[in-house]
Amino acid sequence: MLTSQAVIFSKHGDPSEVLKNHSYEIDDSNVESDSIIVKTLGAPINPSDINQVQGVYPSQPEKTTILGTEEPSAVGGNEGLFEVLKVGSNVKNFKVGDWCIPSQVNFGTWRTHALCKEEDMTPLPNPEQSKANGKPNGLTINQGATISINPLTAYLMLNHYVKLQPGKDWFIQNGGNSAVGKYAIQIAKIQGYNSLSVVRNRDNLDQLVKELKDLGATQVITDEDNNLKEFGATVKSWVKDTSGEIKLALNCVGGKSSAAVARKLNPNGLMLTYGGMSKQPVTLPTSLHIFKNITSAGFWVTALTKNDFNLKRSTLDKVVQWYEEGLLKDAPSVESKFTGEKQLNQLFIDGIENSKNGKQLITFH
Amino acid sequence: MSIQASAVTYTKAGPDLAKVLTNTKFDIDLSKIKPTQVVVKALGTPINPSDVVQVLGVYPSPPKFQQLGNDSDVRYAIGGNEGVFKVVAVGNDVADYKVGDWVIPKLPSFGTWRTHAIADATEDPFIKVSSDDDSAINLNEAATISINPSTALQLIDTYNDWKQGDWIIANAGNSQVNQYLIQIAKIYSINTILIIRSGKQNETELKNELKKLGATLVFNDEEIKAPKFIKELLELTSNGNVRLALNSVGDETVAILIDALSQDGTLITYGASGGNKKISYDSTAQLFKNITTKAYWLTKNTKANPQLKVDTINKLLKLYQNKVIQSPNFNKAKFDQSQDLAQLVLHSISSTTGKQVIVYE
Repeated sequence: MLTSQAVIFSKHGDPSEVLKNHSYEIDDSNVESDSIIVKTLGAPINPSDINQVQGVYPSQPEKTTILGTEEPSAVGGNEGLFEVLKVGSNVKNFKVGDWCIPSQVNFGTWRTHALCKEEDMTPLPNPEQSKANGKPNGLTINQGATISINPLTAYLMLNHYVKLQPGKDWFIQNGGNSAVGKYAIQIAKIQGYNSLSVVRNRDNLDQLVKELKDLGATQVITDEDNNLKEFGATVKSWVKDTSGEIKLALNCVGGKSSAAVARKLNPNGLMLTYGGMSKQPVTLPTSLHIFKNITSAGFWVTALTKNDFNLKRSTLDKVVQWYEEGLLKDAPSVESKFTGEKQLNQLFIDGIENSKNGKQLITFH
Repeated sequence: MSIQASAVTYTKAGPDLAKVLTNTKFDIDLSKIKPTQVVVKALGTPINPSDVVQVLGVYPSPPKFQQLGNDSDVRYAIGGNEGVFKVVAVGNDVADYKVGDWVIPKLPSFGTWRTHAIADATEDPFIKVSSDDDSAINLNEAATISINPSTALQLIDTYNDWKQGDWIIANAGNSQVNQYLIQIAKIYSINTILIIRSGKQNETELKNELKKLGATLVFNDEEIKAPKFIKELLELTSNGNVRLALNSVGDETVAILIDALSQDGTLITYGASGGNKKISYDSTAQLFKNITTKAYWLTKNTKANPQLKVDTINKLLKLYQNKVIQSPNFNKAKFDQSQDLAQLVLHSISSTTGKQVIVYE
């Protein structure tokens, strides 16, 4: 028997009140033929995980008593990296020691171990496998544990809707300093697209601009510049220099900022909204719609990949390859290790509390 | 034989309409008509808001500069984009049009505020809509077929897989476009929800009129702001699929249109009456429901694909002939040769009582 611990909730509300610790046994001597037992290496805390616990997120895990809880409960967390401990006799895609991530959202990643079907997990190469394949780098735990939301969001927004011409075309984004924003800058650089990133003005602006340019940003501007009508001419001259167009805008802010990035789109351009950090509505000048034929659409990686697993797999492969080749840097997380000293639910509750200081990753190795 | 004609012309767009628009008289010498030319006489030409904005110079579809009559080199912009004309003379080589045909210009910027025009048949300038012989549709229908009903039909054609009982929600509920939209949607078995402005004296009457045309639900813009509105709407539509939201206003109703849309719905903006320059809506509603917002502009579609406009007009002709749609009321200003056409147009522009159409004796 293997003792597993999970952070569960049976009702929604303040995470510090509803997240409970649950201990249960996994029978590791009798693994069903199509099942695997995995051990958690790392699980992050995403804003959407918190919203899910609070009950304000439209995608929700099913609450069941399958883990032996008194009340129907769900395990928190959607992203995480796991290592295979045991495999059933008919399992084809996994062997002991392999790394994997959940195939779908709502797996419940905030736990030490899981017993699941083979198809519930999607393989990633572990560092020994990458090395054996002649790759200069293996995945880190942070890279594996945070691969399925932010890097996939950035890649799919850049590639799934609009065909940008390498060397010529541009995308513009607000939230240039966000995790997704930094992935978008790097992926654009790898693919040869020009990026125009809007960041909030700040004391150490030069340092931030340098950091983003080191990641591969073509141009970085402040939101004051973004809102300034006269600044449009400067942007136009940059775009003219590459004989391209700004075909895509990525908006995670809303309000004035969304109108200002949309205004810089060329005719027939697309704005994708994937978040609303300012809590202000998406705002668009009507004239952009009618006379420049700008389209505005929503982007939600969960909905897009839920029904198209091949798209998720092929995107994961690209991102993994870029990590292995050292072309892509992951957004760092603040890591806290589960040692048993603190209850697992308390570790996650503290992590949620600390999320305002940066993304939190709970590790188990 | 010579025709004395006049046109409402301008050489440069500008804000002072009375100074910009000029009544220009010209002659058409029928003996000098070239073999491929067609001479048409105006029957009815509306004045649309977009026509006025074009003369003001703030419309992205510019006028076309063209000569008047058959022996002048001067080129003018002529006001107006919509109207029905009757063919009064054709050159020897013209096969597609005959005297007595009723035609509308195929492309925008024909310049319809004029008594007569000469066009070249080789340029395929017209769509035939009726004739003296068959009276397929009447003058009211023919004069106003080009813009509002075409817009309504093409908006519905956003989707080609409508299911019986799907829903459309629209603001500016009693606009001309929406009065056609209600009728056409009903033919397709699509339900419609119309939002009208609150505070109208005749609100009950107006709601009843729209329902008589075929509207399923009509609300005023205060009723939809109630916190329970979306929940109530779900009940009233029996959780129906609200696929399309149509915005031609741009005020705070837009956010509610987005809230009312079902999963994967589309908001289309095709106008900004009242001078609203921006639309705003909740970002999470957009991304979690996968809502797309985009524009629709008839003029652009027609320029890009004139055949689409021909197809649209032909569909509308059938609907008129089958008596399943009717054109809404509008005001007629009668023109006779003794009048100054530019003055009549200016007078109609200043009128605030609904759509104006110049009708020619």
